[in-house]
Amino acid sequence: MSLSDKKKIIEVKNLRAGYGYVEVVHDVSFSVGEGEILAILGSNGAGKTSTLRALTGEIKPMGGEILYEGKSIVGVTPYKLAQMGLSMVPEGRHLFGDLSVQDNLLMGAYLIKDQNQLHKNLDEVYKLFPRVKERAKQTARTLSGGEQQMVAIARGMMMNPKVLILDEPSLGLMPKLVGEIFEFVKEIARMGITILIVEQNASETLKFADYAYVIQNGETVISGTGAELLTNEDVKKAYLGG
Amino acid sequence: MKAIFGDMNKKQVVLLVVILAFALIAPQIFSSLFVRNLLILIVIWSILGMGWNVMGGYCGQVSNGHSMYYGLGAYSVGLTLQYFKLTPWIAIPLGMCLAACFAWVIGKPILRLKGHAFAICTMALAECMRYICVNLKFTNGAKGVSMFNKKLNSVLYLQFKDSRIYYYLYLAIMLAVLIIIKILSKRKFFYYLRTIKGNEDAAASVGIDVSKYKIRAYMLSAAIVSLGGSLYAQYMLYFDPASMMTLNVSMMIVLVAVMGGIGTVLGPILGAVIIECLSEYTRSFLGRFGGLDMVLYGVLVIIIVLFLPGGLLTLPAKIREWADRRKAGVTK
Repeated sequence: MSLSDKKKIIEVKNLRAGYGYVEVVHDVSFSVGEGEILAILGSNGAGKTSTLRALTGEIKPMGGEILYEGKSIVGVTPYKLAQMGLSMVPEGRHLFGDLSVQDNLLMGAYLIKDQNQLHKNLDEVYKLFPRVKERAKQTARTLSGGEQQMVAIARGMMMNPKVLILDEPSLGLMPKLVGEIFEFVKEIARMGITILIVEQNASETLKFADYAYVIQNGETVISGTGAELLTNEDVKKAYLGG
Repeated sequence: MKAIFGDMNKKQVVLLVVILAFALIAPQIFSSLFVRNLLILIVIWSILGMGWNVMGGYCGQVSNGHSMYYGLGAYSVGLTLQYFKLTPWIAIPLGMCLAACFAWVIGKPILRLKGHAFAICTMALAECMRYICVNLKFTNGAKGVSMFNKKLNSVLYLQFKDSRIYYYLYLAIMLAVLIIIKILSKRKFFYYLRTIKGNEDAAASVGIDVSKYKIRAYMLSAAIVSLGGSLYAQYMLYFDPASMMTLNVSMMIVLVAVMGGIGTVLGPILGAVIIECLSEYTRSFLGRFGGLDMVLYGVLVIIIVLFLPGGLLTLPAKIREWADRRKAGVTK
């Protein structure tokens, strides 16, 4: 499955994955070109998060291939993937609650040993997220949901990733904030970072995604550009409310 | 100096100096053996609490089996004296290294476990260690190890008649541990531990090798607790498995840190002061009502967990908060 002619940074071919003896993902294939925004859509339990977890090494695939820059990354541990430039912003934010916002960001730059680079990254992230800067000294736990999501994305940006993977960034946020978060995602994409976003909020996501895949019952069933999927009858029926 | 006092305000530094001054003159004020014994136990338990705190407080991995390293420390001074006449000046660091190695070996498999599973596993391991020590001839079995020997040079073998010497020596060692932990608490290593406590998956996703830092924390924790065990054995000059390696001791180590303030530098010391005073005084006043001291513990733990989940160290902040709220209520 190839949607664009750009150089592929991530390729997933016929992925099968699950937990114990239960296979959740049966046949998922997709690819992301460099600098693109790719959306993976699907309802609850379709296998989106399991696909991501296989991609980031949290669960072991049962079959299929996962290529990152042309090389297989099956069996590579999450922290090593981070070192290779894959930055994951997990579902439900997962901040380091006891640390301050700034410390959270600095931990995100764990891989960057050069102090100058570190401060440069911090400045850039603060420029991108002024709201986060206002909260720099506050304990992460005391932030609102939207602010926590911003800090989580900002933290993911601190390591100069090649690919930013976002797992349901709009989860549990009010509509106004969802729009704000997606604005940031677009901003990050403009900086040339490849974005892989997994979402239930199909209508908003399709508006800015270059390409999108729909996963159903553990299989990729529909694919196309964001605009195509927005007008696709099946997608409309299933995810866009008619 | 800045690394130690850097983040404190003037009031806190003054308070710390006053406490330290009191700690220095305490054995001169109190001449009773009971109080001097109590002071030494406080110092030893502070070390144990600080050791546990590295793993349980900073890294968030609650171990209920640290008595195993406490025992290991005691055996390493006791048995090396018995078999090789080794001076504790060498045996204590040796025991710490041994504890760290041991922690590395068993940490590899058990640190994969999370939360309750880890807590139960450490508990079981400590029990296994106790049974092994009771049943081996090499460790003198249930008889324990007696280290007392009049003929030995007191400085070389750390056997003093005057308990004040123990106190000052141990206080110095405790302060050294305290300073090391205080400095470490501002270093990257401890920040990695805090992220692991905060969220293991998120820590891995920013590129932190979680298992590597967990195992290092566990090794450091084991080494410090082993130091405490060695000091205890060296002070008592006698120990047996039933008094060193029980679940009771493991839980006390946890309590010291939790009571004082989990994941804080000074918490374990505060915890040790309270727990040891409570334990020794209830035992001497209420000793004839067997078990009453344990009941008192239980009640205290419940109160602290309910009202001060951050430990007693958070009490002043809580009071201030309460006063502020009252003031706000009055002006309304």
